[in-house]
Amino acid sequence: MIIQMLKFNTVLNGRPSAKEAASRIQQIINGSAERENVVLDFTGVEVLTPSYADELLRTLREKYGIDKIEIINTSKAVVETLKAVAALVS
Amino acid sequence: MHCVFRDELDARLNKIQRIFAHFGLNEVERSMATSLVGELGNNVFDHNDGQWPTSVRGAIILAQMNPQKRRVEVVVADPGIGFSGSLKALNPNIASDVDAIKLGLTGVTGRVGESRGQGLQIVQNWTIEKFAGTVRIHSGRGLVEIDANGQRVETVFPIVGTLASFMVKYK
Repeated sequence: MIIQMLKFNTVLNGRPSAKEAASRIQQIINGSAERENVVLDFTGVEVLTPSYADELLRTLREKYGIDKIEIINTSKAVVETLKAVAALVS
Repeated sequence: MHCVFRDELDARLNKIQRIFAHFGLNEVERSMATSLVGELGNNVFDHNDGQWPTSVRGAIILAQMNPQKRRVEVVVADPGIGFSGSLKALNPNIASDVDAIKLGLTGVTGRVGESRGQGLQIVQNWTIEKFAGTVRIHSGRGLVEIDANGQRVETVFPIVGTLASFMVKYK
């Protein structure tokens, strides 16, 4: 299932917003992750803060497993955020 | 700009990004710089909500540019409990404001039982590695400045709360 992150905002900031988004994504998926991957499409997202990325990905990976989460269509800045968060988590 | 509540900060990040564009930062630079403002602003509310020492609350964000040197300096200030106030619950042996800031910069957080504390590390890493800039934290009587040459600490005049700033050089 493809989740268009743009529909949450073009600027994705902070843990409270990420918690809400993770909860909403779980409702949207509603069981489909058992059959298919959860694809987070970042088309149109201009800013992704590290705290948002950490909270969202941590929650979804704990729920569905790290292998089920795919990230696509990231800008250079979004990639930098994802790299920075991955480096500090690992 | 004064963001009294977290939602105001969220809503104004779009405007902050446009201000950075106006300053001349390219798409990647302004996106990353806006992320840094977001992280510093989030810290204000994460560590002070429920504990503001006076009736004045929120994050005060200031930015100034030096177009000749292609530098932008951003300050995120708050009249909150400061690094010592936030970290002492978990680390009661902190001896000074400088020690509290240094501890906070390593990723230690005063938010008990949560996996977090990366924000300030990323603020330092990006400012130094991506922007060849400087991070400056003044909290209580402590002042810590970090750039590519390392960390400098000083005990200075006291303030209520925290001034967190980063200076970036853009292309």
